[in-house]
Amino acid sequence: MKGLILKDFYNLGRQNKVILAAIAFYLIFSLANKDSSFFGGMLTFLMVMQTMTAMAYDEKSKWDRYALAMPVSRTDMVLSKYILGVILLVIAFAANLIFMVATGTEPVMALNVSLVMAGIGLFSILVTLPVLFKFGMEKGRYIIMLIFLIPTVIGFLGPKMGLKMPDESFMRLLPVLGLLILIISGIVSVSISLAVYKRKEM
Amino acid sequence: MSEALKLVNVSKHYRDFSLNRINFSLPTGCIMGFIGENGAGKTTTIKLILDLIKRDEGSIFVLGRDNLTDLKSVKENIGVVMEDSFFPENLTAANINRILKGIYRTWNEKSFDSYLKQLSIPANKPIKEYSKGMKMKLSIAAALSHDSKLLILDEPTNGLDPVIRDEILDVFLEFIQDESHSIFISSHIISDLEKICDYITFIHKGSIIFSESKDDLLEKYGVLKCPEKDFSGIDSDAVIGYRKNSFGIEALVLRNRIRGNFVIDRAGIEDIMLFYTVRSKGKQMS
Repeated sequence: MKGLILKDFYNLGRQNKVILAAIAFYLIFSLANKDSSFFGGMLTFLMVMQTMTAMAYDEKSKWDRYALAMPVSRTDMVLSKYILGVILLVIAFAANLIFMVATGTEPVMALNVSLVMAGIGLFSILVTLPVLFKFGMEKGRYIIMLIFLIPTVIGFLGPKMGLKMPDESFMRLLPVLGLLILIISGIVSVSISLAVYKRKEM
Repeated sequence: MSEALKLVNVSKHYRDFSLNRINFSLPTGCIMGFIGENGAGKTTTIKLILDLIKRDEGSIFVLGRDNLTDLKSVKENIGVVMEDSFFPENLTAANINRILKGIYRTWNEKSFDSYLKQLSIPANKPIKEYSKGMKMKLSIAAALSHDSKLLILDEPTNGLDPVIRDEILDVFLEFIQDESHSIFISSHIISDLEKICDYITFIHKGSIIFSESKDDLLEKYGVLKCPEKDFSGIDSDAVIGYRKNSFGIEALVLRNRIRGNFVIDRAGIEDIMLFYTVRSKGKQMS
């Protein structure tokens, strides 16, 4: 398992110049516009993308066929991608927290915002991984775009159709609700991915 | 354990192709060559052995263990080399070393380094810049650098020049010096197999035509040459397949069933394979 995640980091690390440039850009943009959440949001988004990119690299080199001939189970192969996603999100979370506090955001507020972003990032990964395991990158790409269209459309059309922002009592429930959603989605996502991958013919 | 690999009544059905009740076994300490035309089922068989695809019927035992129940621990002792290199192309041999160290319990870094040197593989060049031969040598170095008892090789020498092929065959022969080591190798390059194999298994259209010791095969069969008019006098049970040429008839025969004075030459493994294939097309090749 350790070797699998190391392989993903080696693959992703090959793009390190581009990634560093992107991060630098987000940083500068955020500072220039005094929008501390831009950096965190984009960094989280980047980490979600990188998890998908790791799967794309595997697909390109037909790594799975070779890896399964080694002492690696199909369960290991699936879990390693989830673990990779979590590691990347933790990095984004830490970077975001530090950035927000360093630019003057009140620590508790910074913690909350960072947690929410990491939570949304995690939810995105939980949704996309089973799709990629089932359909691969080519078909999966379009399905994922469609899936992410839904919240975008709701966010856009919602206010026009009279959807109001939830009131304060609901907002207080949000963390617990959010955690619950993440746990349930996590269980569902991993179960689906495992079921799909165990039956896949290589 | 007497058999490194054993397949019993293994079948796999696709829409337009089936593997039909494959049976063969590889005794420990030996090298078995797996031959057949393109599309005969060689890669399918290997994928079934590694449980990369699910079989519809039968049992497979790798190093004595059922490949469905205990495969993860058995894989510590299997070295696999397939025709395409599946290492991510941006990685270097040094990266591969660290990755495999984190996967194989018995990974031997010194061994890997020494194979890299022996096979002239650079440690820090990305794999996408390797030649085909180098990619293959890297896969082989990896397959040999942990506690491998069985090597499973799917057309490892395809597209390689004779010098590299010889280098690689030497590495295999060195591997087999240990009596507990075995090799299962599928290949089109029959001359390579004739050099190193103890057993030959021939698969054709999803069925095993024969699985026998190479020496037995070379002793049993011969290529008989005679004028066309003499051919009808030969017992047809003795003939596996034949073809006409400008001198007369060339036929693969079972030596011990031929009576009379005929010119019978040595049959190579390639001859045996070709004539068996002719046979399945109706005994005559034009």
